[in-house]
Amino acid sequence: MDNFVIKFNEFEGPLDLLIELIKKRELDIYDLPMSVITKDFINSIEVMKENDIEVTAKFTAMASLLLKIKTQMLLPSSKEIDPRTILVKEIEEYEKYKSNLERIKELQFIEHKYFKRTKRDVSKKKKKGSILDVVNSYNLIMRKKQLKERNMKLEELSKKLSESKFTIDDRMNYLKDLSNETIEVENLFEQINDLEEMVVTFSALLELVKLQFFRIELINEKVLLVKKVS
Amino acid sequence: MDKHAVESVLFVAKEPLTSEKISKILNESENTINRWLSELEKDYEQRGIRIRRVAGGFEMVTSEQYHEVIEPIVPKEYEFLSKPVLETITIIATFELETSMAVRKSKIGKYRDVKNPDSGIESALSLGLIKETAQGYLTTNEFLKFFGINDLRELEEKLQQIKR
Repeated sequence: MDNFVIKFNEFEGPLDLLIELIKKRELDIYDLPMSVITKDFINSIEVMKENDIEVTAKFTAMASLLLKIKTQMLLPSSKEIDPRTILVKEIEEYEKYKSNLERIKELQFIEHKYFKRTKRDVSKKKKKGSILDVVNSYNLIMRKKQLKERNMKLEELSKKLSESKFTIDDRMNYLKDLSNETIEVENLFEQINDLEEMVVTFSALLELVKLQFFRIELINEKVLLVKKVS
Repeated sequence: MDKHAVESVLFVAKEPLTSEKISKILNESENTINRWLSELEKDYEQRGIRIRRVAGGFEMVTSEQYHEVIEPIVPKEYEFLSKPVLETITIIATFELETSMAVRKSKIGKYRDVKNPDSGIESALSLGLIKETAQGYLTTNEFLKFFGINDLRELEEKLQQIKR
């Protein structure tokens, strides 16, 4: 018997190999001679191994299936139920799938020759992305979060200020009503313990200087506010 | 109302329209609409535009012999499906055509000869080309539209037709 061996690169799976072997010998798939095809298949696997082609578990599984069917053929029950039936059906289905696959590939090209109103419905929205897209969206979200945080802080601050027990107007009146003609700035602030009160008082002070209610004098390096006599 | 009303509806439609839908739009019987549609199909046989049947509906497309003229002016986004998606949908279409039944994941994995068929299935699902049912996977109308065919049987017919 000849050794039917094939070049292997073109096979994706065991069914491809099996179909190729059947075609090479021009076997009738409805009456497969199991001993022939099993031998061919096992020989082919051996050649694959010799040529350092990876023999996946699926090839060995197919080989043992073929052996199993071959043995079953010897049993009397094989007269009633042909043990090859499932395998044959599988081969037929697989061939049909492969020929449809070629058809469908070609149909894609053919369909591109037709133009219509909107053709992009099916696969337009998807585009391959990269890790950069993920980084970009991460940065975008971080920036948004930072902005939000800052805005929240500002809001809190302005809310605090509006709730503040001290207002610039009050402090201005307070300073105006002080009985002394001169105020020593250092003393004025030393008496205040509250930070907020200090800030507001300082603002009031600036405002009064601007309004020329006070004049600023330096005596012995001490800063004095002197009420202007109206 | 005459067949030219149908013509104008088809002209603006962005999706294939069934005769049922057109009959509702125009408030005419489906029989009448079907007659008009057949007449229009004939009228358009020798034109730069065709009326063809896709996914059980009707749509206007340019005639395929002029695609080279059109391509430069309509920058078309060519969408070719990836190998895993093509294989997945072909297996489903093949067995659906044979048995009219849904196809299970194990079968897809077996015929594609891959350990894990999930990503191909996921992509096909997200493209809307297949749908999931309790019994397995089936092709969708979107599948038919993508390949410009009326039903699965046309997979074979259409190719023979074009090669002629």
